[in-house]
Amino acid sequence: MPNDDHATTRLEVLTRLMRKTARQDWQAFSVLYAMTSPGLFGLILNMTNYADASEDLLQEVYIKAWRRAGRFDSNKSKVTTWLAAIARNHTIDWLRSQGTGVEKMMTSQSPEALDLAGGIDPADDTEMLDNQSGLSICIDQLSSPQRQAIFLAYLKGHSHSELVEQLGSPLGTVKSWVRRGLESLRNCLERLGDSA
Amino acid sequence: MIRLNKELRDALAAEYVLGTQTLRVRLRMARLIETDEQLADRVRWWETHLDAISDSVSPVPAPPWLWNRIENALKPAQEEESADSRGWWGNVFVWRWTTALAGALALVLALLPAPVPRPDALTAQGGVVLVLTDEDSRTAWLVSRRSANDPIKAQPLNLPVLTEEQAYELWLLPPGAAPLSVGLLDDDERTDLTLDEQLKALVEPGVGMAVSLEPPGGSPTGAPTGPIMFTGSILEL
Repeated sequence: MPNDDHATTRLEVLTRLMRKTARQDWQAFSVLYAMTSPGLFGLILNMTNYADASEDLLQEVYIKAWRRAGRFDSNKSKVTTWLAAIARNHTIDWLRSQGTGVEKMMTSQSPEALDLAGGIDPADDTEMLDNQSGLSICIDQLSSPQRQAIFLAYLKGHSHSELVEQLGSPLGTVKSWVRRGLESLRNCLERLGDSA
Repeated sequence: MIRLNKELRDALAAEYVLGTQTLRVRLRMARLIETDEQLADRVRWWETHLDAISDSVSPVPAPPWLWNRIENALKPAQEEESADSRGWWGNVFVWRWTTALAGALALVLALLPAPVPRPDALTAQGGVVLVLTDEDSRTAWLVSRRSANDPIKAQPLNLPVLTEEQAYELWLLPPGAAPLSVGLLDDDERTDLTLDEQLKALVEPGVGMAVSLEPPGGSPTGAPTGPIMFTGSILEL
């Protein structure tokens, strides 16, 4: 069976469900949750490495999504991108508000929770991107430290200071990797005309 | 009001989306995004372009009870908003079904590949979706139709293994009428079923569907002869 066809169906279904959710259709919202929550839960769990907190965060993300559904514009964003942004922003804010307390919790996590999170190794992540995507092409053009800093920040929700700890380099160097990496990405993506 | 030049706006948007800023800066950014449309555009640009990185994280089904917590958190407010127009979906059965559907679909649809936009199809009429579950609310099939003139697509999910003497048959359950066969289903890959005009007219929101276990080639009588394995109810899209 053609995967593209299946994927098209998924996008259509999600977009329609989102429109109905914006009209306070609870049943549509429940299906939207069913279709998107595994992706968001994986994303959140990967950032927190903490199952209990991830469950609370996921709950709060969908409460926000229900309340903000009327602001979703399918001309500006895909449903999955819109939801992922809510999930990442909420989780990053939570990580920041917890400070070092989270680090302690993270180190006491069960192996099962860490397994669930997928054990991302930023060094390997470019291979997991769609090779045809503009992002993949542009990521490949970054230096290794730039790439590693950007993946760690995006997938783990690390601040500059946490990147310093992870990468073992001075703050100024890390900030430079991030800033120049993002500039390179922007220039490359705009050059490719991939401005969807 | 803070005025940002183009370069600074883009740099702030990029680092906001990446997530490297302190909480204080992030909260300030969130407020700015509400009032600075150009900044909001740049944030969306970065969200759209970096989103593919998220695909490298494996989906993880949330615990089934989490949906109930969301429901409990939102339902009182939601009921107030729609107390006068709740209609059929205030029905307990529908709530149970919805909860089962949510839990069940959670196991399923994250596995589908990345979407490919096709805006013209979004305006089509007659799109439906449903999940067929077993008596323990475990998901067995995802059934969908893009529009009234498209085939019904049935995707099997974690099905029991059939013997050579068994086959799955899909039925439409119009209210007050006998089950109507929609067709035989493949148990290990998606089946596309084109409906005749009579069946097509009966695919309506709220109408039930079911899958029975039949001999190879399907029911010999035109009605289900084996056990009903999976059931579900059609949701309009």
